[in-house]
Amino acid sequence: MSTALAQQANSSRLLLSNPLVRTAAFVTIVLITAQTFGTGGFPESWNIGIAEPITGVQSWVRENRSSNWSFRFFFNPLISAVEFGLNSVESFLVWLPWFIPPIIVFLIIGRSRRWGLATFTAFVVVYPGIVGLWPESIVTISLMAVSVAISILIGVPLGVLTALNKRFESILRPILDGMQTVPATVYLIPIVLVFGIGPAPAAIATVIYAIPPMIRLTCLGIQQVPKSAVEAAHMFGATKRQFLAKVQLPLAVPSIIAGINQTVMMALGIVVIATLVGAGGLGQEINQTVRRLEAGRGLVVSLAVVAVALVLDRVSRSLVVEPGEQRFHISRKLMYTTISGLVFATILGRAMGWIEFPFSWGTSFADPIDSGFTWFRTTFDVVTRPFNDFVVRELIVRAQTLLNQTLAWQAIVVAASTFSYVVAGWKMSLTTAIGITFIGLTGRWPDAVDTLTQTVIAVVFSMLIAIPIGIWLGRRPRAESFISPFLDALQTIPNLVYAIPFVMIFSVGPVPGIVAAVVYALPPGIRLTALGIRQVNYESLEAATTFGATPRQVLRGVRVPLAMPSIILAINQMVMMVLAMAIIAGMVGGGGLGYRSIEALTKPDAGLGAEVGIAIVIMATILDRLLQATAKRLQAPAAN
Amino acid sequence: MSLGETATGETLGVPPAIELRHVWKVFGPGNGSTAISLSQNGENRAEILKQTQQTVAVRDVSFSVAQGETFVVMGLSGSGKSTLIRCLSRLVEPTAGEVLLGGDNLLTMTDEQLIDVRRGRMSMVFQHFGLFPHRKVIDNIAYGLEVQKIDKATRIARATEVLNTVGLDGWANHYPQQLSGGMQQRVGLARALAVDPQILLFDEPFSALDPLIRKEMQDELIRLQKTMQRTVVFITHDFAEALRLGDRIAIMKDGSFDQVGTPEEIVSNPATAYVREFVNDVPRAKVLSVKTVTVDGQPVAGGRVVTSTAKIETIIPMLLERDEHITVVDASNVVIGIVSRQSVASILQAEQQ
Repeated sequence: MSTALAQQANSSRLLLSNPLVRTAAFVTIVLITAQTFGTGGFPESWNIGIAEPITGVQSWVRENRSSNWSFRFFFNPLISAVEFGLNSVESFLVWLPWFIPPIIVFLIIGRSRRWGLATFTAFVVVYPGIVGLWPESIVTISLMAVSVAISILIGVPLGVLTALNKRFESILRPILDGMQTVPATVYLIPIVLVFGIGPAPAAIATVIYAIPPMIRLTCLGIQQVPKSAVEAAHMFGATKRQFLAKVQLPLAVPSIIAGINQTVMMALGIVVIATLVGAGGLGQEINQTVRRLEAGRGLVVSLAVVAVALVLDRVSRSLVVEPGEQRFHISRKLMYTTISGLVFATILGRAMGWIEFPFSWGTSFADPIDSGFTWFRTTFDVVTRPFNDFVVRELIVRAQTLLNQTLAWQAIVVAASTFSYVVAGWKMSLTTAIGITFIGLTGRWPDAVDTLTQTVIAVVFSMLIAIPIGIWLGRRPRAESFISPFLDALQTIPNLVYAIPFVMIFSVGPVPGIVAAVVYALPPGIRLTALGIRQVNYESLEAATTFGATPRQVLRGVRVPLAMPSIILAINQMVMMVLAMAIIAGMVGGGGLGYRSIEALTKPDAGLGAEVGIAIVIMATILDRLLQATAKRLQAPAAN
Repeated sequence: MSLGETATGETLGVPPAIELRHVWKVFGPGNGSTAISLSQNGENRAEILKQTQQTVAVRDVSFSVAQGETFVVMGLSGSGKSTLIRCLSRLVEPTAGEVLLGGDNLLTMTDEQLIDVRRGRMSMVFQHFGLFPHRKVIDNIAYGLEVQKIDKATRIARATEVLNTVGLDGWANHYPQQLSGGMQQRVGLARALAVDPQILLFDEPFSALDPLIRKEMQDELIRLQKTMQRTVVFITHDFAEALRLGDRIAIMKDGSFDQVGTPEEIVSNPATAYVREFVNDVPRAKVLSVKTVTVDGQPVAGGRVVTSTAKIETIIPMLLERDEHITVVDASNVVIGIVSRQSVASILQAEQQ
């Protein structure tokens, strides 16, 4: 009622609320600006040159790396310390007989009496050995161990501080938010500049990339302590320190462990990109398989990464005792017996020389996979080639011509900000206009257009697949609980791996990147859509059914509209996932900002890196805000 | 508004266990002085919120509670009762006014002094129990002793003792979430009792429980209070609960007290229309004493006798059995009048209107 009244009060608003009129007005505005400004991309001479001062800093760092005090007394010792940590862990793992780690994993998980899980996980530990990747896995695990340890040492205190100190929180939070949109390749650049290349800088880069969830979840854990428990603790006269040590921290432990978990996953997520900084290990192997287009081997290696992820995940989870969980009581005697047993086994293993993994099937079972892909490619050439050509010629090239040549850049800015105005009001419209223009001013206009085109195409494909599946799954809880573990597993695979099979099928170019991005974006898209559909208020559904709506009518008239905010959120997530994939797309010939960021990192060229970083952050922020605003608009009437 | 000083139970020379003087609590930005002066000029809450973005949660509340007395604050949600009990434990800092505990000013205490008061002198039971989910029942109960750095053997012994008092023997090594709601609140009660406080604060402790369990817990509290004689401040939204437990009751509305008095005073003489609404639903015979229906008259020689403090419901069967006046005597056995079928009927009739 109230909206109707408001519309009557403002007749121009009423006119604009008609979607046809709105579209017409929108198109007219765009056409008029296009007519006025003619054609052509963003003028190159307008580049304001933000790269130069940054390149200046870069050369200064190069010249002063060995002489300046900050390097001699801070950065270089830091690197040495990290290096020492890495070497110690690595040489210990190499020294350790191969059968000790699976036994330890079995014992840790077995403590909660889940024998099946314990046995399975112990076998997973052995998997890299079976496929002949034991040494590479040790390198990667050492990198994980050291970077996660550093993340905990720094992240937990920072998280506590963030939770307890409002001012500190207001400083740190925007930094953490920003860190999540900046592509990893971009902030690897300053690290390469300052620390050089090698395993230790890779560990530091991993820490910086993976620490945000550690801080966030520690902070969350402390803030989420139930208010009544907080009051009770104060009421019984706990001092601040007692409160922290006996109530806040213990209650935050599950959340902190979840943070460690997330940090491990994030760290594994950039294991491939970290090789660009010299990390070695499994990441390097994956990188090579992509270069050589060996899908089978790529799969075998990435399963090793997944194995590492799974083991670390399971072990860290079983370290938390859930209240009331049945566990083995470990007496001191049993503890000593177990430890001395392990020590004895180690000595025996050393003495007998059972150190390296005793056998290896190598990656021989990768070959059938490779030939399978080759077969697939030749057999379905009739489908894949036209698809490839269609996407490249009809979609990408056309869209790029439209955005780069046919339309004036002013028209694009006006179109985008008009759209922003309609969805989110004049403030957002202004932000959009300034943001887009700024991308032009940094000189990354053509690259941004390239990336935007591919992103939009990938998102549209993801929506067409994920939303129907999500809607279907949302009404079938059993099917969903069956599919969930697969979706989970898909999310632990490093994103470069997604690209490998598609590079084999479509050969290098923008298409494998787009298809990989679609596959990468599907799990959260499906999840969130299904969630929205499932969480629709039960009474609304019953009401609809009572009035004689057919199941189809219930779905279209009630379920989908009520799930709309969640579906928009799903689209939002997919956009973010696709953008995260842009760099990988750059690695397999996708071009655009992704390619530039790799170029910037490998040179290294900090100026270029900054330009790319700014462009990606602006794009991500604008898309994110617009979609959030759309979701909010759709939600508003439901809240009344 | 009758803030009548009836039955304060104040003993000469001994300061009341708790005394609040003109306590205000204003939530929102700023120091609240504007909101207070607006409120004093009679503006209502909605208007004050509009003008200052501040909410007056507690409005000029004064009362005192005697040693060993059970004082119940009854109010509906949003009446400010939960804020009030937090003001008197300083979980919430009052905006203005004084809070005295046995004559000591709570609001001027340093953090250390406040921690001392909370460790020894007062203790609290919470609406949603406020138990620590990561600690076993026994360690929850011992928490107050633990922060006082009392050694483990002593505190476990004391906690076990209290655990038995509240009837939870054998549950020491369970975690709170393994217990039913009623049992969890017994743990909450035990935790409060373990530190042996003079003052016990209850913030709607039984409102999250089923009606039967609630009744059981009320009985438990009445039983414990008979032997312990603590000073109790009890918050509730349930008028029947207030009548059962309170030596005196305050009815709170929009941040201030509408009426303070014994259950009997409130039921027989509600001060405002708001209070009357609650009273109307109360079966008077259960609350009012024989004294209120006593009339002048000639005692029947050799007839039946009751004391004036007995509840009316106890004499109804006697009157039904035989229509003969009953003689009413006071505590020292002096005859003060009689009750008849008519006098009782008249009070029950009033209930119907």
